[in-house]
Formats: sequence, structure tokens, C-alpha cells
Amino acid sequence: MREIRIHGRGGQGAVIASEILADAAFRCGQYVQAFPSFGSERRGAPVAAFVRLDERQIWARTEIYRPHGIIVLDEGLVTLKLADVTQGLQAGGFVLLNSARDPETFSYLGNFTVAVVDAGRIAIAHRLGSLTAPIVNTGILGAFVSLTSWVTMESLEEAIKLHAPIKPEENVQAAREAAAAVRILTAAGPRG
Amino acid sequence: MVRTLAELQPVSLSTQSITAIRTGTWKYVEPLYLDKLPPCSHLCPAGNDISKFLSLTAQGDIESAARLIRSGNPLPATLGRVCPHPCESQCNRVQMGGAIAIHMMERFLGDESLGEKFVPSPAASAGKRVAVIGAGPAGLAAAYNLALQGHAVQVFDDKAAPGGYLRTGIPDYRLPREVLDREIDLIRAMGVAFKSNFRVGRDAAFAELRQQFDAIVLAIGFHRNRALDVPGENNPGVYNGVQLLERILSGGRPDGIRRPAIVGGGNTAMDAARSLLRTGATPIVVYRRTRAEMPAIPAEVDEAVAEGIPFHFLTAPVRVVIEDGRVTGLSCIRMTLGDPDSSGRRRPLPVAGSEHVVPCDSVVTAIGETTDLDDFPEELREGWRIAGDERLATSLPGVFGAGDAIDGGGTVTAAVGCGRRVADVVNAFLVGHDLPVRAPRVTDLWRRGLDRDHVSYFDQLNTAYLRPELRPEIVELPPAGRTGSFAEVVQSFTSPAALAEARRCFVCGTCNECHNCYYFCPDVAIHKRRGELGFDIDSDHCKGCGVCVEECPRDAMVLVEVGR
Amino acid sequence: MKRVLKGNSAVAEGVRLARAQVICAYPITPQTSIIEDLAVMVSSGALPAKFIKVESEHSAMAGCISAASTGARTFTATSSQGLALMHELIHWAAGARLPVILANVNRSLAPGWSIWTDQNDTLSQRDTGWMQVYCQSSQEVIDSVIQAYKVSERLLLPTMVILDAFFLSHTHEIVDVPDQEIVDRFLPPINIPFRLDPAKPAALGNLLYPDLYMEFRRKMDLAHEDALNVWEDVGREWAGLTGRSYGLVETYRCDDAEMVFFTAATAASTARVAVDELRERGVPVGLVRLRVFRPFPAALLQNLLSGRRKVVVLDRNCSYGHHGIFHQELKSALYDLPQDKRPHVSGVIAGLGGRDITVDDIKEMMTLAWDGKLGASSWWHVLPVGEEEPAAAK
Repeated sequence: MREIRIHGRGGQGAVIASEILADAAFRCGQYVQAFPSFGSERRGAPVAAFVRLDERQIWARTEIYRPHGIIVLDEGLVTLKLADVTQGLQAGGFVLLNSARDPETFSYLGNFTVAVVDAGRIAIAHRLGSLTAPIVNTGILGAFVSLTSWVTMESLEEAIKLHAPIKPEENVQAAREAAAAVRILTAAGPRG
Repeated sequence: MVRTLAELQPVSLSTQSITAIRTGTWKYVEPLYLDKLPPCSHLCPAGNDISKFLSLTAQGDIESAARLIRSGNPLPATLGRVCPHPCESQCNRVQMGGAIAIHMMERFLGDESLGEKFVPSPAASAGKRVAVIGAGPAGLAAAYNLALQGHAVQVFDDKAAPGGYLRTGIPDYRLPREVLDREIDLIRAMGVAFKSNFRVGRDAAFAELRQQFDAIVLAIGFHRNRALDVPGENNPGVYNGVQLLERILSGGRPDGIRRPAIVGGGNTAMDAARSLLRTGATPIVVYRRTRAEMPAIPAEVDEAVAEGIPFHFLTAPVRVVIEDGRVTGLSCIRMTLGDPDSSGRRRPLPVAGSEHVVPCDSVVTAIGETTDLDDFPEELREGWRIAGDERLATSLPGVFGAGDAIDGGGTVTAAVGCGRRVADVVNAFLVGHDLPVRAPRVTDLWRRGLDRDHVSYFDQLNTAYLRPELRPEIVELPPAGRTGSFAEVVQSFTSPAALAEARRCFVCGTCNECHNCYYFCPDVAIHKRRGELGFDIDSDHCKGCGVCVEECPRDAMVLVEVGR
Repeated sequence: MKRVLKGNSAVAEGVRLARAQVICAYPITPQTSIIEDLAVMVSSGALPAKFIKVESEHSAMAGCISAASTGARTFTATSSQGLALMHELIHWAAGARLPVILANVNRSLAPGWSIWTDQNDTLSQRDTGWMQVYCQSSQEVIDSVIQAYKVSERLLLPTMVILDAFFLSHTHEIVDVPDQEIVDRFLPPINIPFRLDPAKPAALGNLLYPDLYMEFRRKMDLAHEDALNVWEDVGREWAGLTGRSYGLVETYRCDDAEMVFFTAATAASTARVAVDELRERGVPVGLVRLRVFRPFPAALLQNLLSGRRKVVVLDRNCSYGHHGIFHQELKSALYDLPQDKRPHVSGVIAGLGGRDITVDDIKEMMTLAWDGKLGASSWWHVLPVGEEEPAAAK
């Protein structure tokens, strides 16, 4: 089983990202669960969403405590210390951030694979969301695919087209661009 | 941190302040209080801060309201009576019970502040002397505002008493002389000197005045009657409307005018017709376009109609009919309306073969007035107007223009506004500042940080909080009884009526502390300022939800994007 | 067709496929997205039904009662405080024998204020005459909604289809959404034998004197007795059409189990993982999941549990002053067994107010029970009381 936690702010699309990722995995023949952090959700507030992927039926219906990977839609959550994004992250796991900075900037997060992609810039280029609040979830999922290969790009694109409320083609393009633009620093050194 | 059940109270009581949660870090946008322009003030040519004086009146503070209105406008009692009140045309109350009777409120506050206690205190003397030529509304407003700024002001006028057209052209039944006199008395009481029966060119050369004063404001208005340019015009029995009105208003009763034909559709025509009616004559009005194109204040036309004065529309004079040296009629031609002309009104075109004679024993010409610049230097003239730039300055250093003579504003209110504006420019000149690129807009004169690019129109209000309330009836003397005298037709508001009317004002675009934002803020991030007006937004906790802006009834708030 | 759906969406899809005719509901977290989905379906024409907006849950149930009284197929959904506010009319719907279907998303009652799951809201409606079905997956939710219409309309009893807040209501997973054609074959149009009809005036809910009230109530109780068979029959019929089988209870690795873990809803799903892990350690534990709580399948449970050494009941609820509610109900049912066949029954109360019940938590409960460290009273899985040990046996 693989468990992923997605951090964002209300309104950035963290929950939709979890649903798209689950749908993409379903299209790859996997069993899936996706759920938000339980509680009320408010625009701008730190939120989290979760995804479980497995080859076998998933019976556990509990929260996720020891994820294998973390996706961060808003680097401000890290830089402003609004969320402990690496809490419970398994050794050897990854942190994928939406950031224009170098992955080395975030090496202080711990002995994890750190990947960055400037999904905000890509979203703005495709006019997804507004200048101050770009919708970055589809872009960062493209980067997730190239980082993990846990789902295929084709299934991700299908899932994006199904879930994106508007501009499906632009969202797919953003995912493709982000997949190519992701920069990875493994615990052993840079890759990609 | 609780570690055992024994440490817990029986009930959950929250004792920590929610302020520990810095919800302000969540925001993409944040609210801002803006003093936006209400449509009324946006349209006021005199620059009255209307919603503010209504707001003060609604709070029962009539004195502060009156002081506010008099802070730059010396003639509220006058303007409240004679202004065509464009402010009311786009009042957001129009859709919800009828426009606020703003002119009646201005009149009420003006009347309430005619006493000595309302003589304003000028700023400390700056040692500069200013001559204002013309004691009409533009000159009075310029003199008043210059005196307020500490300058010694001398007003020259060629009539027997100051007031200009207010005195010589507007009848008592619209503007009682006592009201005008008392407003001028206030200006006098603050130190402005008046010299009457003084005509530039006759009593002193313009060049002399320039030597005696540090600055000169020309506010000479429109006093020259435009000619009809038809045969017979110079015959006895054909009267210059401006002069005739002046004669009647100073108590003269012209003989031999029993059945006059008044030519024109402006305020002079209406004032002449209605004044003649009051002298016992039976006037008719001849106008070459239709009622819709008449430049007169619509209420004045209504009252003339109510008083039984007949109108001959689409009728233009071609000749005065003279028999035995006496006027017996006005030969006219019927007109039809063609394409719009430069004024935007449809151009009247004669209908061939439609000549006819309108019987009358006299003709009064009132088709418009123009400036009389004969006694001023050539470089000050530009066609009908004073040659000036956007700063209201002429090519002669220290010489400025104001009122109809420079901008052709056409109303008393516009003249007052122009007088206020020129005072700001002259003051800058006198104290040695660079002149502004242009004279300030009238609403700039309030100096209270308004967002002048944003006018709060009806669709920006949250009408869920605003109830329809009917505009009160404005009481007039009945037409049958009023034409026998020059008694004032429109009656003033009583104090209770004025307070009630002020309370109908929505105060569009400006916070009036209704507290809706405060009540609705889900994060308790809006705080009332202690001891002063307004609210502060706690940026640490405002999360930019926008509820306050949505629930503000009067469009006094906006959301602005914030960078992260 | 298989899709990824959350529990709340599965409810709405089930209502659509059942061709509900009148939906009358008031929003409350965490139920809201059920009626949002239905509102979209009604406005788009995907569900040709009347959607009645009301100002409270009390009115929502009143609307359903009125519509059902005219013979319409009705639906409402609520949670927690909303269900509590409906309480008066919950009785009325059952007493009037109206087959109203209500989806309740289990949420704790205040105070302290909570939007998270536990079962006290629905269990407080235990004695109203409604049937109650507790679901563990989105698949079971959609199937149970459709089944509930069939069972309810056959018996003239209303049904609550119940799902855990967030752990089910907001969790997306794969659901096989049945074809409309299959549902139509399974569920005929509603046909209530008595209904408001202007041609045949009658008063519903008229005054009933002591000489007959009890007889009507006895008929309601008999309908519940029938319901035990009807749920099984309908479950088999559904299995024939879809391959998915549900009964009154579900068992897992019980054949040779000396100890049975007994619970309901999503905690039962998680408990499967704990059973598998303890089995690997050699503990002979099995799982019984209670699906239909009303009518209570007492005889079935007596047969299932007769002769086992231990039963441990996990309650996400509490009857204050006397155990968890499943614990009491099960213990009372097992008392009819001969003494030598009666298992030792212990109980755990956990997960109230939405506290997570993890695989490790359930393993701990099973281990304590197996080791004889749980007593006859329900053990609260909470902070320790003073210096006492967490699993103090009594």
C-alpha cells in the first residue's frame, strides 16, 4: 500500500488533487481511497488531503499517519511554518513542493527525496486561477507522475479531464509541462 | 496538556482566546474602507459634501451640518432655492421611494445658519490683497474662500448692491432678498470689503487695479443680452429681458406692458414671464423648440405652466409688427426639429409658408446672455469668454477668471463651484506655490481622502439592509393665490421634516458606522475605533473572506488582492 | 459502471437510481453534499423529482411524511442535531407506516460541538419503529439505499441508511454503480395500498382509543419480525442481479474463531485488517459485522456465537449509565443461550466524536480481551482515569 498526504490551503484544490490522483490510479487498475482532512474547510486555511493506493482491496478506514510521500501545493505552508509537512513521513519518502526555488533550499526538511516544480508559474501561464491564487493542483500531479511513476500520465490526463471544472485542456498541458520541469534532489544527490 | 480524565472539568469550557490562531495568514484579499463618492456629490457643481451633511443632520447635529456646508460654500440658503439640483437626478434613493430632497436640505441648513455665530473665522493673515471683480455667485464664492485662507479681499461691482444676477435676475418669489442679504452679510462680517457702483474702466482702469492688488479674479458673469436679430427689434416696446427683470426686481413697474410676448426658453425667459405676471400683465412665451429642449430649470417651467402662462412652442420670431410706432404683434414662423446641433439638442428648422402673427403689445427678448468684456485688455478676451486655461488663469500674471464669464457653466451652483476652485488656485499663486496643472475638481476641495474614481451607484449597494421610504411632499403656495405678489412660492422644511428627510439618506459610499461589518466579521477582526469615527481591520486575523464587504449596505468597503 | 465516488455521492446515486419522487431536506455538515448532489440531479433533469427546500429538519420529515401519504417515493438525509430535531416526526413516519428512506451521516451530538462521527444520533432513534442499516463502504451505501426502498415499501416501515461521517461520507473509493435497467427490474414503482385521495376522504392519524392503539403497534412489531426475512430475501435477489450479497450480518474468518470481534460500520472494515494480523500471530479471532440493527437479528446472532469462548463488542456509541448499545443488545440476546454455550462478552467504547479507530487500536482491544483483561462492563478507550491502569478489569 502507498499512502500520500497533500498539503494546501482551502481553495487551492488539494482535495480535488486527491480525487484526481485516486481516479488516475483507479484507471491504472489500482484500488484507491481519497479523503480530505476531516473537518470544516475554509478558503485560505491550511488543509490536507490523503490518498491510499493498493493492488489489493483497501479495508483500513483510518487516517494516514505514516505516509510515503508528501505533496505541498503552497510553499508558504513550509516557509511560514503553518504546517508540519513532513510529520510521519517514512524514511526514504518524498516531499514534492510547488516552488520556484532550488530543491536544495528544502534539504533542511530531512533525509527525504525533495522535488520542486514551479507549478504556480505554469498555472499562471495557462491562466488557471488568478495571479495571486493560481490553481496549481493539476500541474503538481504531473510532476508527481514523473517523480513516482505510481500512475501513468495517460490515466492522469483522463482523470484531469473528468475532474477539472473548467479548462480541461489547459490543465492537462500544465500537468505535462510540470512533469518535464520537476527538479529532484534525492537523499543521495540531484536527479532529473 | 491534559493527561488524565481527572484533570478535566465536567464540561468543555474554552478559555483560550481565538486570537492565538493567526487566520490572517490565510488571506488572498483583504477589505479596505474607502470614502467613495456618492452620486449626489459627484454631480454637485458647487462641491457640496452632501451625504456627510445629511449624515450629521440625521444625527441631530444641525450646527455641524451647517458649518460643514458653509465650509466652502457661502450661499447654501440661496443655492437651496435656485439650484436645479442635478444631485437628485441620480440619487440612489430614486429607486426606493424617490430622491432625497437635497436642495430642500441645503436650503434648510442654509437658513439655520444665517446668524452671527456662523460667521467663519479666517486663517491668519497672509498679507496679500485680492480684488474680485463681480459680486455675483462666482465672485462671492471666490472672495469667501480666499478670505478663509487669510487674504484681504476687496469685491468690486457695478450694481448698487452685491449679489450680481442673484439680485438683478432672480425674482423674490424664488429667492427672497432677505435671504441673499443675510448670506452676503456673513461674508462681509468675516472681513470681505465690498465696493458697489464701481465699474472697471469708468471708475478705475484695469491696470490700476493690477498695481493695487496682488491678484485679481474676474467674475463678471453674463449680463449682456443677446440680440434677436429681427427687424423692429430696436423699436420702443421691445425690451431687453435682463434689464427689464432688473428693473422689476428693484421695484420698478414698467408701464404699457399688458400683453408681452417673451422670447426664449431659459431661466431669464421664465423669470421675466412670471415676474410680469405678478405685475398684472398677461405674458405668453414664444420658444423655437419644444418643452423638452428648454434650458430653463424644469421646476420653473412647471410653475410657470401651473400659473397659467401659455407657451408657443416651435415658434420663432421673424419680425416685430409695428403699427403707429407701437408694437402690435410678433410675426413668427413655425419650426420643426431636425438633427442635433452642437449642444446636443435638435436643431429647429423653419416650415415654409407658416408665417403668422402672435398678437402682443410688447416683446421681451430673453434668448441668452453673454459676457461684457469691453473694458478689459484685449488679451483677456476670447470670443464670448475670458481667455483662460485649465487652471482658470489668464495670460496676465495674477489675473484669474471665475464663473460664467470663463466657463459658461450657466447655473448659480456652477458659478459657486468655480469660485471655490479659483480660490484654491489664487491661494497657491499668492503663497508662492507652483500653480496646479488644473484647477481642482470641486470634490477635491473636501480634503477627506475620498476615492474620486469610484462612485457608489445603486447596483453597488446591498439593498437587503435598505428600506423603501417615500420622499416627502414639498409644499408650495397654491398657484391661484401666489401670482398676485412676489411671496416665496416653495415653503421651507420644518426641523422635524428635515431630520426625517436626512435619515432617508443611504450615505452611499461612506462608512456611517452602521456596524454591519463588525457584526458579520466571523473572525472578530473588525474593531471600532475608540473615541473617533470608523473601524480598524486586524490584519493578523482578517482571513479575507469578504463577508464585511458583501454585507456593507452602502459600498463603503472594497476587497483588494494582497501579495503573499 | 465502476466509478470513484465518496459515500455521500453514493447515497445520491442510489436515490437517483431508485427514482425517488420527492426529496425534502435541510443541509447539515457532514450530510450536505448528499442533498447538493441531488439538487444538481433534480435541476439538470437527471432525476425527475420534486426537491422541496425547508427551513428545518423537522419540516423536512414533515414534507416526506406528507408526500409519502399521497403515495410518493420519498427521501431525506440528515445528521446529528438535525436528526434529533426530527425526532417527533420520526415516530410519526413509522406509526403512519410510511416507507420514507432517510440517509443519516453519523455525527456526534453537542456539546461539546462536534462534526465528527459516532452513532449516538441514530441509536437515540432506536425505539421509533424505523429499520436501521449501518454501512461500511460506498458500495454498500448505494446498494443499501436501493434495497431499503424495496424492503420498506414491502413492509410499510421506514428505513435509515447510515454511514459514518468523513470515514465514509467524504472518502472516495471505487463503486460499481448499477445500471438503471437492473435497478428498475429489482425495484418496481411504489404502490402504497392506502394514500390520501380526495375521492375517498379519510383522516390519517386520527384519534385512537385504548381499545385499538396497541393492536396497531403490535402490527408494527410484527412487520419488524417479518423484516428479518425480507432483508435476507431482498439481499439474495440483489446478489442474483449484481453479484453483491449483503445479509443482516456479515462474518469474516469466523468458522474456527474462538473469539469474535463484534462491531458495525467502518470500524468493522478496519477490524478485518486487525483480524488478519492477529490470525498471523495465532489468535483464533473472527469478525461479525452487524449490518441491520433494527430489526435486531437476535436468533441469527445466537446461532453464530453459541459456544464461542469470547465476544468483544466495539461500540462507537454509549448508553450513558449502561454500556455501549451494541454491547447491551448483544448481551441480552445471548442470555437466552444455555449457560455452557454463552460466550464471555466484553465491550469497548471507542471512536466517539470522530476519534480515529486504528488497526493498532483494534488489535489492542482484541489482545486485551483474549488475555482476559477486559471485564463485563464496557471499557472506555480514553485517557487513563487518575493513576488507574488503562485496561483495569472489573
